[in-house]
Amino acid sequence: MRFLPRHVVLIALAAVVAGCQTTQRPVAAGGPMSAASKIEEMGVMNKLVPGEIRVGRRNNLLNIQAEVVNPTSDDEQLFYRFKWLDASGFLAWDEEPWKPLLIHGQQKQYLRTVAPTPKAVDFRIEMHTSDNSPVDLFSNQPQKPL
Amino acid sequence: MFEMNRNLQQAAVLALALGLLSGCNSVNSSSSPSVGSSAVQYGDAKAVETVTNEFGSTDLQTIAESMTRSMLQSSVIARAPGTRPLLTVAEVKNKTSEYVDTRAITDTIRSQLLKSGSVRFAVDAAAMQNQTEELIRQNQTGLYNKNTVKKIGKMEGADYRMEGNIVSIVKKTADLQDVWYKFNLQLIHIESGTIEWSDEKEIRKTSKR
Repeated sequence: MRFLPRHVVLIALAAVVAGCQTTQRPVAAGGPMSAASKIEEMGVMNKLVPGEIRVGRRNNLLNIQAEVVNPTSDDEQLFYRFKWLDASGFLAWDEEPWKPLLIHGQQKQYLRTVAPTPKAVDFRIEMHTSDNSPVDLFSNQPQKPL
Repeated sequence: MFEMNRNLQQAAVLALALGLLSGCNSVNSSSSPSVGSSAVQYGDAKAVETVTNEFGSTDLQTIAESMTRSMLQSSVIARAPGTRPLLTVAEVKNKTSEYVDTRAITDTIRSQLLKSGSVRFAVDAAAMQNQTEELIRQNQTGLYNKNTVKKIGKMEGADYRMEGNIVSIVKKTADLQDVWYKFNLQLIHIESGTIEWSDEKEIRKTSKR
């Protein structure tokens, strides 16, 4: 310890303390955002493509509109639900029921919802289709067929 | 000194072996915190249920969620932060051809609204008997400490009444059955009799026969 200057130790301690804080950053309201950080596909959806997500805060509640596109020519059944997180990153609400949504071939659909509580400052969308490919959790890539 | 080290080593090996053995016991593959047959399994209570095309848990859950979220955005609830309107539950009429426990739907809506912290609910007609019996027991039996007895005549009258209906249209062919449900809910201002909010949720279910 005597080899380290005092200010280096203080900076290191401050960094450790900052790292321990787990405050959930509220999602920016208004503009579109990338789907990648908000969508949990439970594998990889082969036929549906998540698109732009819009977030707004009205009446102190998060309003979400997420785009999902079916670029194929066949109808596709999507199952989805939202998870709501509070400012500390804890779940702010109970598990929602899974909701079925039929998306026709070549159709763009919107998943729209409102947060159930003002405590919700962030969200995730769980999505699943019947032909999801499993994902390799280590590489975060679709698993190769055996 | 050398002899002492050897004894220590032997003791350590023995302790390790005992530890492993006791560890093996605790992870015995035949032990499991369940009793009974593997034919019975717990499932996901929130899963999409498509066992038959009759009214089911997914319909109840999605209707309740849809109505709750819509109501939370309504001007009735959203316009006055800090002042939570007082609601009461009236009847949701089942106009479908099948048995639907509409009380279960309104119970879920009420629970979710209360949990959101945006409204209050007054005791409804169905629970009024229990409420009046409790008040009478406290006030008329002489069994209770007078300082803790809740007074008669202090119940609050609701601002809004929640009521609605559910209808269905069923179409059948030789190989297909289609059921369409429409759930309608309204908030009625009790003093003025005006409908202040209303929304609907439609569900279509088609099955092969």
